[in-house]
Amino acid sequence: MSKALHLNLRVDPTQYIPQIRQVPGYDYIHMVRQPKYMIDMTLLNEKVHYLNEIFSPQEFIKKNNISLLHAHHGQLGVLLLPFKDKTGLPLVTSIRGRDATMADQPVGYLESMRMLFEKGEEFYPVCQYLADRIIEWGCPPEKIKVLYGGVDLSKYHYSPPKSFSDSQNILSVGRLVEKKGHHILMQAFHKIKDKYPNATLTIIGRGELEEQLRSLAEQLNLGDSFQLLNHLPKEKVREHMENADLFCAASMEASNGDVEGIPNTLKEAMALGVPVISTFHAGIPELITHNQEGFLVQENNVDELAQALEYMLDERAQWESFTLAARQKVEQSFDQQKQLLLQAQYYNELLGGK
Amino acid sequence: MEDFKSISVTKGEKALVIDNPTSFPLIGAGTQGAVFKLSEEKCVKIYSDELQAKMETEALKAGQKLPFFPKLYDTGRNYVVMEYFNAPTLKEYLRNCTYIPESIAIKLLTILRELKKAKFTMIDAPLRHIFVLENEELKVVDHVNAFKRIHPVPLKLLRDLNIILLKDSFLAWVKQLEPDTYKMWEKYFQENDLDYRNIPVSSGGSGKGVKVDSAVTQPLIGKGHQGAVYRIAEDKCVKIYGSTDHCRQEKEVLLKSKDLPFIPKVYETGPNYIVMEYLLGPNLNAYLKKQLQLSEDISRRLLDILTMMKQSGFKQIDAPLRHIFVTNNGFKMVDHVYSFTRLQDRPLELFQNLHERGFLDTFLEHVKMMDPKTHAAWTKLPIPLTNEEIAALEEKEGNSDKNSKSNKSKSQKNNKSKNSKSNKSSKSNNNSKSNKSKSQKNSKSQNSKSSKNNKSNNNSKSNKNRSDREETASTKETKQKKKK
Repeated sequence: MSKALHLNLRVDPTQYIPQIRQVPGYDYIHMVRQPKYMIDMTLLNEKVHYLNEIFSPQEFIKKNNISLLHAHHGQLGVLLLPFKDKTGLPLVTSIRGRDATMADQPVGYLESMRMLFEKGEEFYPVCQYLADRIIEWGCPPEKIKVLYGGVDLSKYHYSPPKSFSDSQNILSVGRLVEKKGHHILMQAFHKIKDKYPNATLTIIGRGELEEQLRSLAEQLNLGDSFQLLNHLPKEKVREHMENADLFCAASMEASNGDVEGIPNTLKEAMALGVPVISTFHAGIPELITHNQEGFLVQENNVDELAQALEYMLDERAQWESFTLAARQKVEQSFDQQKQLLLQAQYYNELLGGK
Repeated sequence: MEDFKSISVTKGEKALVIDNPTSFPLIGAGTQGAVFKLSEEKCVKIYSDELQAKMETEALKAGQKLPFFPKLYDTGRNYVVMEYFNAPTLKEYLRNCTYIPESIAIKLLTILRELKKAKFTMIDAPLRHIFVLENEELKVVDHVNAFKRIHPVPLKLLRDLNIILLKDSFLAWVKQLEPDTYKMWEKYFQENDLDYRNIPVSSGGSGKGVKVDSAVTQPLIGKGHQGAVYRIAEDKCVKIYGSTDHCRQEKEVLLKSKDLPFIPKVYETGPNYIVMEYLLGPNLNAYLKKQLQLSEDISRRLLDILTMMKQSGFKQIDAPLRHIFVTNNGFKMVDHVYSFTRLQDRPLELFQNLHERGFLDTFLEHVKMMDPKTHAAWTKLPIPLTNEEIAALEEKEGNSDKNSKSNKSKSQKNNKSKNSKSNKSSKSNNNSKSNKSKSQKNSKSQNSKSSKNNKSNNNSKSNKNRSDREETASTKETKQKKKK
């Protein structure tokens, strides 16, 4: 069995563990930059290694019989370039969002990415939108293969939407950062609240904007109809999703230019059969065709989002056609098992069908 | 008009004593001197040691023609007035970079070349002494050792770049831009490779770190009171002791306890060195910093270690968090010099460390559940959590090892807590810098603080002293592991 060396940000359950540890036909080394990035002992095993502790790259890859390097963010691909030089191994790099923007990037970022485009073998942006962005930066299109992230469908089962219930619970899940657009959703919710007195809005996540969002809720007088839950374990989040009437991801480009790929939570909600509302942002239209698998509005637009919420709350009879189409879309292009197979196939092609 | 000459800077027992009756702000201090901002253009560095002032003056004069030197305005018996830079240091400038920009590599190589041409012997500068001006022009401060120390290869620069993971990309540029320089460095590193069976280390005496020959190019992992640790292979490191007694003591513990699962493997020993397993993973203090809760699993593993120690006849029952490494082969603990000689029946340092992380109560609850008897024994007397409380307790209990040693253990305690503080404040070096070598550590934390806090200022912060002593030639992250 071939072995890939993966470099990601942290040994942490939120950091795309399946794409490192469950690629069919490929054993793995799970590498992080330094020991301090190993933050979950339950994921610590003999395959975890630290880049800064490697004594001799040549010996390391020989001893571990590694045939491929996979960096899981643009800046990590750049970091691996000297290692690639010394070992002569092919390097592939996933592009996940911010790494295709200049948001909060260090000095010389664009130049170093261009060096990576030149020297790296392949690039796996998580959507076509990001592929187009790196092509604009000079990445040769023939080096690009879009690799959508998938949902574990053995855990996310479809159940029909609550078309006949009278609850009106809206849910959003995502880190509390600007690009998730939580503040837009809260303002939109505020607009419709009087018309739908039973409606609730729940946001699950944690992040730097927590204080700001809490005070926004106060300012908007959202009261008991609104709750902000701090980061919950994934199973709990799934429960909340299953119980929600509508799922909303108000994604938008942040003022520093940060963007999404395709939010995983949207795919998960769609897999579960919860009707979704989102925005024409980044790769989202690749997941949702407006009025087919869900409802899309312009990003950063409170009024449009409020109208969409109203529309969906009023048109419950349409929900099932949305959710059936949505589930089908996820099964087709966002099934984790299929996507991992595709990842393995990309590896195979790169390594010459080995 | 205020006069900076009324500022006094003298050497105290541990750090500089600064008396500043003026309103000139202190913008940096080390073990040998302090820097005050005089205006937007000028700052003054005042030394406790006049010789240092003289050395710096000479170097600055010699370098005035070099474009990257600060302008020299005035000098005196114990001070130099020079150009002030309101700019980030190169370390700050490169923050989050994963490949050093070519423009910076070219500028660094130019600086090194010109230092050499001007006959300086110190062809080197740590990142925090390099300032990056608006147009990416570089300025280098702190030239006290410019003619004293001999660094034909930029050991400090490479070591600092290595800590922020930029050494490899820098070397890649050097190889491409100046292949001859690259070859020269490579040769230097090969020639100064470590022969640990013959390494010159001497005890620095009480309160000082061991002295290490600066020409050694092996990655230094850490050093302290009793020894220095070097990585010598993928899975091995060597600890070299200043005193053969310490070596013998630790060897005895490690060999006698080799079947205990938390004891690192020993591969080879000599009169003043031990070759042992190199442990991969975060130390437990670093790990716990990222945890919201203390898991039962961790409490259980800690309790197991302490219980095994007791059952195996260890005299010193303790497990400081930074001495425990979370490896993929379980918890491993380093630093056993006093395990068989110092009597201590409660893990006081562990308690202190857990307290600092906010986990002591949870830990004690877990222990109460897992092993009520031990819990009772530990909590019969109040648990001392401050240095004063510990010192008082040691006085009272008249620690077994009497005279000089009890003193030592006290001062060591002091150090340690200081260091754990410094650990906290320094982000980049998250990996257990641990203790020892009081003054060295001190200067280190000062440096790391000043480089972090004074985003925009100061020339020549500190570290004469530090460089004197630290001269490690190491290019590896100074990640103090086992030592003492």
